[in-house]
Amino acid sequence: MNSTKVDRQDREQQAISAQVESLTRRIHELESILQAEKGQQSPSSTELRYRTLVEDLPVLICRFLADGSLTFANGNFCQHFGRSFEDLVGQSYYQFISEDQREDVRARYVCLTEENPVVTYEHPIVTPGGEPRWHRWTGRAFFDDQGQPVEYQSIGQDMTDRRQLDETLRESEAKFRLLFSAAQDALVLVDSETRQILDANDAVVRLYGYDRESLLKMNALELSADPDLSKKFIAQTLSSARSQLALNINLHKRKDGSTFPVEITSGVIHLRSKKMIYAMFRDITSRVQAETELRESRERFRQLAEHIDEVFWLFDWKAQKVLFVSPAYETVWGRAIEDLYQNYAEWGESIHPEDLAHAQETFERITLTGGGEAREYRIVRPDGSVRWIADRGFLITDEDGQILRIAGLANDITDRKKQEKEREELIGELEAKNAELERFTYTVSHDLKSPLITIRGFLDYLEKDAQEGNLDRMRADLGRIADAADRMEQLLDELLELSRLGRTVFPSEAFSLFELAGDVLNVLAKRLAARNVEVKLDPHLPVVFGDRVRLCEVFENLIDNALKNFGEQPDPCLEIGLRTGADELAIFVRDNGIGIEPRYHTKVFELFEQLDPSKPGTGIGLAIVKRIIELHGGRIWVESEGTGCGATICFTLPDRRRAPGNFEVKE
Amino acid sequence: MKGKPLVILLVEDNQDHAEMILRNLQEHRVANQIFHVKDGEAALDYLFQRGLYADPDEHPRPHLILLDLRLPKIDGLEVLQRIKQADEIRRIPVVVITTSEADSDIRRAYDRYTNSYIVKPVKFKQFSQLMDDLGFYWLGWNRHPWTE
Repeated sequence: MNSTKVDRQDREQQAISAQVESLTRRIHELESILQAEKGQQSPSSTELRYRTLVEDLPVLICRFLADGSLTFANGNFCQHFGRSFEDLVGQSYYQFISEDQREDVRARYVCLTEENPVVTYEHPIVTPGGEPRWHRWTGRAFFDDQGQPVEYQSIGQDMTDRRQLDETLRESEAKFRLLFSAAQDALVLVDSETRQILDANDAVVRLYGYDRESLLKMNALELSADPDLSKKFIAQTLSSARSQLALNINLHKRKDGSTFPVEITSGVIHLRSKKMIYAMFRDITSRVQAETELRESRERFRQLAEHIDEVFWLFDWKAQKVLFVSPAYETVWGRAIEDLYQNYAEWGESIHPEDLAHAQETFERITLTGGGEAREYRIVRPDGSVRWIADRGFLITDEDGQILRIAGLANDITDRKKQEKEREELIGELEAKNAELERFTYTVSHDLKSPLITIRGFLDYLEKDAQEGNLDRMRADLGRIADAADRMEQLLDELLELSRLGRTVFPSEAFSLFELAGDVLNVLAKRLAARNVEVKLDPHLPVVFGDRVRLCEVFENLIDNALKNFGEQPDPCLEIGLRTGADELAIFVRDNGIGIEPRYHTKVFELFEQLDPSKPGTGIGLAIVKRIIELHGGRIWVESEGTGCGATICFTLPDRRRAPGNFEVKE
Repeated sequence: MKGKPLVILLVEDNQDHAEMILRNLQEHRVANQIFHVKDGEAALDYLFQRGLYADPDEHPRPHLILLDLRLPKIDGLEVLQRIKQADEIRRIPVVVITTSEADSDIRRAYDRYTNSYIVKPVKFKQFSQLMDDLGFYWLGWNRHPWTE
């Protein structure tokens, strides 16, 4: 580009010189004509034309003798130096040249010969107004017949504006040159026809690995790894409107053959009346890489989010808006994601009313604690089903600690909750069993020790009775010992029975309760008849599924219990019947005996619990009944108004055909 | 002490044990009068002079209560608690006499302010000796808040 500038300066100088040359020639011609017309009285038209020309030309014209004294100055000259023509005549021409230039200029004139009569020079001057200006002068010497210079003519032009323009151009060019070469982006100028590279900056050298000299001999297409596409881009650029930039992406290759993606900004420029293409190549490898990584990362996130069972969510704290919810939301919540995006209140609406306050409060708490702990709440799906959710939120803040987002992971823990509940129930059951066992060992030790104490005690009395010869008391005490021994035996038998019950897995079979009750009544017929008991048995007693032997024991014990409790009743009556409830059948055994006060209604089923110790029995019978009924999944309870009102013992047997699963979880 | 009949209330559901205790106490002539009830409800009726036991001449307040723990109707521990919560009878010494050696029973009895806790010995000699000692200690040596 330096060469371009030099060219232009040279060209301008030549143009000016040519102009001055033609002027000088023109003046000369006119002078010759004037000389020819000398002697004529009136000024000829030629002289007039000469004068007018000299005066009208936008240049400074003067003539001076060999010693420098001025003989002529035109109007422009006078005006320029602020002097009148009369003032100037006889003054030295050289005084208008600054002192340091003056001798130099004088020497130039002295050197002029007939063969080389013209000189051109430039120098700064200071106007009388004190203004610094640049002048260009063209001097010509006139010689006499002996070849001695007699007069000089000098034509001057004020070059100040042109010089300033040059300066500005130079500066601007330098600036652009700097920008061009220092630019980080690779810049090239390309011939629009040959596609030859006309110029390239250092960045091109760095980017492509060619040295500058090689580049300037290369075709621009050689930089491309896809020349066909490049040709298309070049065509596009050339056809585009002036000052319009084209932006394209292509693959380029380095000197070593390696390729890289580039972003190309190109446009058309007209220099020296030549159409050129300028282009900027930007290596976008890292951007493409980052974009690829981002895309891959997004893709990975999407795959993760779409395939996890957990609901991943992002909440914009400032906007109080849901930013993202993974698709599992629709499965777990049973609601459309779109609705949640549109209205965050949807979340609150999905929460079980009883848990709403807790869920909201713990959500707000994340902003204080930073989150991390699981919040548990229930949601209600549109179909009404209730699910348990464990939701873990994490606070996302910026560098200044300002809350940006809350990210969270929610999952359905309904199954876990169910298991927990089952486990708790199991634990509860175990604890109850344990307590029962404790009570069992405790009562066993107590109740077995009692007859032992009796036996030991009365054995001693027996000895005393014998010594005293008290036969009556002896007989009575022997009876006590025998009774105590019987009682011990019975206790041991029944305890064994009770302990067996706890671990029996009984085979279930279908049988008629009516027949079963009838069988039991037959076995006990003698005792019933002895007490003159009226028996009513409901023929509608159903067919049930259960352990026949155990249920037989239930009836035995209940009838035995009734027999013991008739008390003084003159018309004892026993009724076994069926009461149909909402969804379970209750069988009852009713007596019209002494009755049980309401406060003892649960106590009667406890182990070794006897309301009346004077009655025979061990206090195990009803405990066994209760255990058998509970093992069948039923309930047992007492109904009695109190003393003298009789008692009804009711129990239920769930219909096992309708509920085949033995381990239903009660919600 | 002199001239005042000493009264014991025995609360015991086991007839045989009651008989043994009664025979022993009578043999040692510990008390003037022994009343025997068989369940917790009767015990409270007696002490609060209700129902069958409303007449204080026929059923005077006892100077000592011998209380079994496992009782029909109202449990011995509950009887103890009601006694110790009632201003008019809480000063009467209560001696729990039971077959239970369970720590929980001993603790619960003392929590309810029993005055003594005795486990019935299985050997009759010891049982007899205990009854003797018991009578002498509580009705002889021991001073009562109402003793003039």
